[in-house]
Amino acid sequence: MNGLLKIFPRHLRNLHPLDKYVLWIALVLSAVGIMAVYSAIAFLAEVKAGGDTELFLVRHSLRVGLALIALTVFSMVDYHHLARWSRFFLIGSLLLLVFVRIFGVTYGGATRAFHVGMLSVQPSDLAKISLILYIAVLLVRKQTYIQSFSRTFLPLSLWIFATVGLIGLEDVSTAFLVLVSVMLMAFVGRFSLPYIGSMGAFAVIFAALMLLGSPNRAQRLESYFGVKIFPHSEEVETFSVQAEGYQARQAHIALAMGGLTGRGPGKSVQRDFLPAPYNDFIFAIITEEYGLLGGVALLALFVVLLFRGFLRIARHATDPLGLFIAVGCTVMLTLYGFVHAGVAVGLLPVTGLPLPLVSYGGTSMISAGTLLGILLNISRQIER
Amino acid sequence: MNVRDQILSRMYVVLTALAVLPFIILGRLVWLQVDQGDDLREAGLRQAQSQELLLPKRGDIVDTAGRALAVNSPKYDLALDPTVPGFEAQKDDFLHRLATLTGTSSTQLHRRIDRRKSEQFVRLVNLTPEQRTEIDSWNVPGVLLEERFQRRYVYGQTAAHVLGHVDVDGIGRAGLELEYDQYLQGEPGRRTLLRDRRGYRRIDAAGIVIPPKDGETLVLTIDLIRQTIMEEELAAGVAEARAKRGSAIAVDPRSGAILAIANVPTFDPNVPLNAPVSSWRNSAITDRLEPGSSFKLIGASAALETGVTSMDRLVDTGDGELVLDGRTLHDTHPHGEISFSEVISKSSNIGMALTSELMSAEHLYRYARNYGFGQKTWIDLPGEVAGLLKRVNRWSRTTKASLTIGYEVDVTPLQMVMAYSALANGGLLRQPYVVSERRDVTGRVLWRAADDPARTDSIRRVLEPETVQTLLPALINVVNIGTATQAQTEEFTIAGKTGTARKVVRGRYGSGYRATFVGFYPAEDPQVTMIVVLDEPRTSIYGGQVAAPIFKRISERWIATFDPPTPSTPAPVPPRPLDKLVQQALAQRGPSKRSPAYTRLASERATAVRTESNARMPSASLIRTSEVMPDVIGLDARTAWFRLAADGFRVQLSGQGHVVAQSPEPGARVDTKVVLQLQ
Repeated sequence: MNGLLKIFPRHLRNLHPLDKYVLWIALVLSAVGIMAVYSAIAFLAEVKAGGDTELFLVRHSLRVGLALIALTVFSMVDYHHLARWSRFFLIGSLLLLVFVRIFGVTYGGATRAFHVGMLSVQPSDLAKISLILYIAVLLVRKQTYIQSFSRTFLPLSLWIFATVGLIGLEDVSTAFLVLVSVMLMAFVGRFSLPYIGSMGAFAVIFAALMLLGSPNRAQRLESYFGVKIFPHSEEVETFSVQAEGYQARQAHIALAMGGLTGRGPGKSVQRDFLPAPYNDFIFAIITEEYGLLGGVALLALFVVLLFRGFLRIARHATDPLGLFIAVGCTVMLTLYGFVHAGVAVGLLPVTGLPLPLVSYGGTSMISAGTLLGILLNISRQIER
Repeated sequence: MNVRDQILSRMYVVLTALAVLPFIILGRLVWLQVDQGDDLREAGLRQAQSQELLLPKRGDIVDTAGRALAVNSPKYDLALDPTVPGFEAQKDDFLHRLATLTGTSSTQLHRRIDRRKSEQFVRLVNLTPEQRTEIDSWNVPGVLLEERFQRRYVYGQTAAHVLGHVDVDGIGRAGLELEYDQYLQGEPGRRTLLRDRRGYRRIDAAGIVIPPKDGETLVLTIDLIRQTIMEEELAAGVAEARAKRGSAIAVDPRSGAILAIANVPTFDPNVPLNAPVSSWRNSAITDRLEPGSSFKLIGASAALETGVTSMDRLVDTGDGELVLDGRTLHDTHPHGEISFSEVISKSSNIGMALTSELMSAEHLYRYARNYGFGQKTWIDLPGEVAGLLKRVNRWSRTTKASLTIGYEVDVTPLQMVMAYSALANGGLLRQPYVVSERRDVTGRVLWRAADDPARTDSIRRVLEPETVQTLLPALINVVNIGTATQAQTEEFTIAGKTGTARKVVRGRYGSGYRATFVGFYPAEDPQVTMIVVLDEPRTSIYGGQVAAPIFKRISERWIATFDPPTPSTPAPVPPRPLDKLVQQALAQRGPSKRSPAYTRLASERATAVRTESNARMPSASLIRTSEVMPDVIGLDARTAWFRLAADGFRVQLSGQGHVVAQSPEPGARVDTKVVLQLQ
């Protein structure tokens, strides 16, 4: 009991105020998400629950509630404690990834989750948070010999590629995003550019292997570039629901339909044409319903989060650990946002990454809440 | 640079790099809007909207009294998608029940599903509303029931050739359905629907709805009861004479309105494919035939109007055989020296041919042309043929003589009946028509044949009224003492002409004949012109013996279908010069086989009280529905009269207003005569 209390750094009355901006961003994103998902879920609701959209509204709201609880809890848990345990978290989540690989449920063609009671748990979400924490720990620990190949580069690379590799076996886009996040962390943590470059090179080789191993993935990338690159890619009709070209075009139509001010809340038409509009294409739906202005406002929230996370929280963090974790969390959250939007506008191949706190989904929601909570905890420990 | 500064500066680099991303996204977003916005928006609208046609109801066809002849009844098509989840589980049970319901076998349905050409579509057509409700209640996934209208001809074969039929898509294929298709069709409406990527359609509350415009209702000049009688009697007559085919047309000579058209064989337009295509033929307007003696009217009018002959001018027909320009003409009997009037009534070929020698070919041609031969009558039915009337410069030496006796000319029964109508109405050739009105669904009259200038302008004078009056007695005599005594009826005076023509089969005259009787009545004030044509009758080849009796039976049963008399004050009909001639004609009547009572009655009628002739009802048994007297007490005089007359009773009215008593009493044994007390 005493040990449990110890994870709270000080008594609650001693807590510093948390960063208001980040908190408000979290609340606004949640609210926007509830409205947008309520609209976008209609199609899924029709298929799965006989048109009962309220069922999904309640479910989504509950998940938002869970995410906000996670945010609150982690904003109160001292990140130093988390850092201390991060090695075990990471090892545990890597074991879970292997476990899921063998025993998990197959969903949407990929084995990513297993069910614990009501929740479906995706170990990759656990793994990516653990990785950020542990990489931050390692970066702090190895600052004195940061240029060392054997003592710094190798262990970091080992952990990074073990995690990213295991995630990437099932979910290349998430893996890629995690990799970029930790590479940027390593860059901030004074990793030399050749090391960063060689990690990037490894990543490219790994990605190429993944593409060669999966005709489906190859086809996705081809449809993005519009040319046939791989001999083994699947021949999919261009205008079929499954085809990536179709999804991208439908997203473009959604964006164009929105115009400057949008069709109005709940009036999306493209939700009927986009696959998983409540998740992969929620940005497109929001832009359709609230227009270019709505899309820009949503992007602006992530820009504010980026600047707040870097300039306010990371820069003023009490120690390098806080700085690295803050950078990692901020980079990961904003990258999710930008990649998600980048897919919607057609800058990136269709990936299926959620928009943090907005998209419909269980563990992605909670992991976004956790990342924000950790960020807020760092902001609380800033000396005035 | 210390470690912290180094870290911070690297952090700024990362920040800058990341901060650029949203601006790239924004740029792309704006570029999409500006560069491709219009195209994308259009594509979006197109894919999300679907137009649904709202089918109009095809217009009804009703008879002159408003009885529906062709209507639309809802039918349902069952579409089945066997790939829908949940269907497979209920498949066997569903198919079994469906087979029981529709009277097919479930193995057959199974086979249809197994051998379906389309992945997801099996179709059953023509389910009734009851079957639809039943199938609906089973609630099987993958089963869709679509409503459409199916044309239904309420009285089956009745007026089949006039009504025609429609194809499976409800488009007119024959008869009025074809001729008036554009009016019957109506205009389809449209509704925009929302469509999602599975192709499911939902009603768009904000969408545009253009309601369909239903088709117009056609009101015919044909009366259902008259038509039924004509068809019955024609069919009976054709059967009795063992003829191949038969046609009959009746026209109101005063207007050109067709009263009835019947053909044997006929078909059921509800299932046209169950009958041979040849039975679809409306022979009354599509068959060309050499008319024979009935065409003598034309030669006679021409001869009389030129003044080359008169009714009492004598013609020597010799011994019934005459060689003229190398062609041998025969009469049925040798007539010797007879008057021109008798030439007509006895139908002497030799007499007509000799008379024709007195006038020019051009003259005869002009009359034939004026009577409408060689041209379409432009009746509002499809498929009409013009017949054949050779131009004078293509006539041979025998043509003139042949023409006067109805050979070397092809006419349709319709042309012939219109020609006699011209005689009946005092010399005007009118355009026949079967549709008297077009109404919209609310009953508003949109068009009336009687007001259509295009129709009224087509009237032309064929012969002078004086000529009509000269000719009429001869035609009355045809029936009274001539070739068509079998058309005689007690009820009214009929004027007419028989025709018996050899049929041309493959360019040669064969053993087959066409027997015709064409005439009109009452001769004093013609209201009906009718032609009956039998093709290859076996019992007798003569129009007077096979066609005239049919004419008579139809006419007698028809009396009940015309306007009832006004019980109290019959409208006085002013005596007309025509009546004198009729009186003379009646006086010429030979020794009658009829009773003295009939003779008395006939001479009474000669004073032309039309209402009297109608007041005595014939025993026309149309539909005697029961063996006991119907109850008409409480009805107004007109309705009561109609009801009883239609059942074939003779009705005697006394008083005015509503029926207060009837004798025999309602429910009593059937008697032919009913006395109604009105008040």
